Amino acid sequence: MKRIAIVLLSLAGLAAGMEGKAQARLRVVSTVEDLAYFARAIGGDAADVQSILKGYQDPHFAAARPSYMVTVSRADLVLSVGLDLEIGWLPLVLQGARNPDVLPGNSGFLDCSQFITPIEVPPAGADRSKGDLHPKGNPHYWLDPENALAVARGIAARMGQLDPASTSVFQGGLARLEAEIASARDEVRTMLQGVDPPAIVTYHVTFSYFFDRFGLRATAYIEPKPGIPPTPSHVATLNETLARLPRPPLFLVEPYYDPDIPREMAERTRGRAVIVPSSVGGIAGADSYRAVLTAVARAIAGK
Amino acid sequence: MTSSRPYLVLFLFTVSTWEASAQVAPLGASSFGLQDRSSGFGLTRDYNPAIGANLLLGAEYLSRDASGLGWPHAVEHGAGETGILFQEAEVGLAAAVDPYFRGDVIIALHRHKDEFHVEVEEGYVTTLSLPRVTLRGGKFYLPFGRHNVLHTHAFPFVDAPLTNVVFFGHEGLNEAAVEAAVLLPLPWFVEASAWAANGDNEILFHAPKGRDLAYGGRLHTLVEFGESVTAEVGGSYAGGRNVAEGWTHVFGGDLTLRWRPASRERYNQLIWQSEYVQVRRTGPRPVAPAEAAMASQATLASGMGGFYSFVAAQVAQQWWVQARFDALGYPRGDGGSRLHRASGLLAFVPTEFSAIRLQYSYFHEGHVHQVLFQVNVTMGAHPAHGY
Repeated sequence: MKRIAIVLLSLAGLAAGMEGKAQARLRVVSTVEDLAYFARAIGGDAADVQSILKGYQDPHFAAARPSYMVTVSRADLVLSVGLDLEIGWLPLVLQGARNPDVLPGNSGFLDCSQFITPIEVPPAGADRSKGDLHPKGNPHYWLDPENALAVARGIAARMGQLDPASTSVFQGGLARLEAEIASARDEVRTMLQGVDPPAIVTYHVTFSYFFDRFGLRATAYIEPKPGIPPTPSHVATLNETLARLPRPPLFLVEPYYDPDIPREMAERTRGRAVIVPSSVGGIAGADSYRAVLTAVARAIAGK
Repeated sequence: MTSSRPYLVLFLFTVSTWEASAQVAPLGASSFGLQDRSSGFGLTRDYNPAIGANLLLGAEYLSRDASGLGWPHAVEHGAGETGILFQEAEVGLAAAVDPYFRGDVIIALHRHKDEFHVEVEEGYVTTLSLPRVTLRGGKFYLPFGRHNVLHTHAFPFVDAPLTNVVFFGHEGLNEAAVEAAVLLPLPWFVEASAWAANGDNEILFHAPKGRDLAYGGRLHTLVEFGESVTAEVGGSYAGGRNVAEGWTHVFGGDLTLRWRPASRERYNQLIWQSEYVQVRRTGPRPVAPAEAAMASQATLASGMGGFYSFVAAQVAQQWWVQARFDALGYPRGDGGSRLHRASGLLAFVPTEFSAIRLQYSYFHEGHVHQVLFQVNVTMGAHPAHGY
């Protein structure tokens, strides 16, 4: 009798846990802080939004920490960057969460890369001798404000599908977010107007979408191939080339890369090394999408 | 050479004709079928499982014959002698079967006692669509402790801890089984799993009637200390009928502390992992039967315990330094002896897909020195590794 009571109580506890999920505000969990920033702006008080990774963490090297499974187990919607950025950890987290609603193929999972056109898609037949390429394209697309707009609209639409009663809240939030993104885009354009940028060196192909949007380009990468750590000979050759440039180069460093190498390179080439955010929360003060874009633009404009 | 020319000419003619017809006459006979959306023959690569392969190669040096240690299984993962080592080749296939199931098959070619064996290391189906619980059926590494569930390429050291090799055998606790694993509805991570397996592990269990199952379970939790430090604690049990018609109970406890500094994820990590296993038998002491596979059940002393503890430090993006101490005979149990081993490992890890590792081990009993060199590579699609 006692055993039956224990079993019944346990089942009731389980049921109560699930009941709680249905009654709560729309629970959105994103893999990176930028998608959470968009969802927070859209959802306002009608959504409870959490990012698994902070803006200063390396999304390529996150681990499938079991506590992430607990977070995802309670989610109504999971926002993923996609293009295999989270391939090393998200699949395990999704499966370990034992929440079928948020598995790919269901309404609670949104791969946000579907709203953008990927760039730097390697040709068919590429292999890992060319580095750790993302076969579906460069996944750092949120740094292009036009992509951010498309992703924000996609997120708002899905949030509305999952919680139709809050659609008006979401639409209002989306309108404000769209205005913010558009004004950030215009502000960056103004900041870069008339600027003759120096040769830009980045660690990884993180800023390709930003550069494409604003008519810039990376002259070189510290990584000899995507995902491959720099060798002393690669660094030496780069230094030699960069030191011969008429103007000193600019090193843009994502916060989760070792700053020592670019700093040393900057010293040897008389250039500047600036740590810039690649996500919301990437560095102190980068607490909004606008702050991220303008921080990168400021570094390039030298202001 | 002369005889191959006509074929070459014919081949070039065929290719040029095909190209010409494709370009000049898009509506001609050769373009039929180019727009079709079905293969027609039902042969397609669409939805093929993701395929990955691992290769473990290397070399081994042993200062003297390890059979003198008195523990026949202690050096299972090396060749057991000085020489070039082909440790294992492993091919993994994984795919979503449909919206409800995922399938995994891992086929391994490995060396055991101077012979190469091909075996289905794992082959199982996992449910995807059940809330809170994951059901799994097939042949797989049973969830006992932390090390038992690892494939050879994911071992923290080149070889397995003494406890796992000596208590569970060279294949580990890997049986045909069914498992249910529940994520408890708590604010922090607690996973409880229970399983039933065919009780035919070469060392622990024996099901002569073909109906005696082995049972077990695991409770595993993770506590976070800030965003960079975690502690994982687990307890495991496995029990089943043994060769002497009694029961074998196996108890395990494990503790893992991990420091992985936020924003330095690719550069630094520190792991301290320890595991304790004890085997207890009830019923009469087994008499060594004629079959060699069962002999080890008779030699393993009841009440025997063992442990390992290792520290692994990622000191730079591509470099790991590790140290391990493992021992058997704590307690000695019913007339068992002790074995102690100390190991050090240096690994150069060019990328996530390759590692070059050099390991030195010293067996205190018998004063045996062992050096293992391993090249560990991963090709193709490879499922993410657990935390």
